[in-house]
Amino acid sequence: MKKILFPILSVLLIALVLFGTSWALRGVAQANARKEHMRLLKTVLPGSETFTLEPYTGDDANIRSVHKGENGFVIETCTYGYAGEISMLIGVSSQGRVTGLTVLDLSETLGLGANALKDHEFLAQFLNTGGDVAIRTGDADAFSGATGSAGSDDSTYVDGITGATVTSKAIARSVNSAVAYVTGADADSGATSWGG
Amino acid sequence: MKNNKYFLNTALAAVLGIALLIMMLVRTFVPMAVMPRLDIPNMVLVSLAALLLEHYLTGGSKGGYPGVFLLSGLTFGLLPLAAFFAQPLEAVKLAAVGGCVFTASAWVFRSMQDRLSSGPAAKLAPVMGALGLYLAAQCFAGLL
Repeated sequence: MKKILFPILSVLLIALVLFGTSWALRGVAQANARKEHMRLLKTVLPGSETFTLEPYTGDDANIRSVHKGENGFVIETCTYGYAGEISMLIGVSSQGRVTGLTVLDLSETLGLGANALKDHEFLAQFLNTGGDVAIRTGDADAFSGATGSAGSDDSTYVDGITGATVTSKAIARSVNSAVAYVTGADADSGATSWGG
Repeated sequence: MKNNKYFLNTALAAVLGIALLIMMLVRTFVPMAVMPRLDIPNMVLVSLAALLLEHYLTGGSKGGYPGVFLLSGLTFGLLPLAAFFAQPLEAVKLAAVGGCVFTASAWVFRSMQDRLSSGPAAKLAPVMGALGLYLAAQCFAGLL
């Protein structure tokens, strides 16, 4: 009986230390998170200094939140990749062009889909696109971003990440959803036709 | 500490506690860093680290699986909750999955441990065995 008490007390003690440390750091953590979030908002939508969180009432399940800046919007999206959710911040100008994007969180396969975090060449392909983005693959039927008319003749094709087509498509879906919000392609969007 | 079959659970608490503490510091000072999730492969990784710690410090132990299951469930449920990495409902799920993963890892590793030669030339054999198990766990999680 005594032997089992030691690990129980160890778990409780370590839990107490973690709780105490987390409690003590929560103020710093929140301040740093707010600061970093603001830095990212300014990075993906250059030219905007202040952002207001707008309520999203549309029915696009990919959109989590909308931040309105002076010259456009930053949309936080969440789509399903190969191994889980992919959260992104996507800046879209009032003219409906992608001004910047960054991956906030993902749990894709290391060495494949997880490369979306740092594959700047891949992400840069989405810049200045106007929605309707599709992933170019060898399979003629497997190129769509699966939102709206993506994959049609008018689509902008980008090269996917090698070995991570599902992840690439999820990111394309995020971009298409974000642009659709601003251009009004999303019927329930709070934005007017061209982001006003 | 030798021959204490629950030393393994103390090692697990220490390994998971240190990992969560590091993650907490990263979350505080690099808030946008992508954190590893407490999924099956990462649970196996933590479990194997604890098993290796036990192997090198005490030479391993046997049996006591019901106790090992309950204590590891408590560890995987309570520590992420205390570090604010999991909500209460999620912590219950982590406890159930973590308990199963840790007990299964312990059973497989100990079975393998019995068959590893114990001469000076085999000092690294448990580490290599654990590495193989981790890769197998990743494949298993991919199947799920």
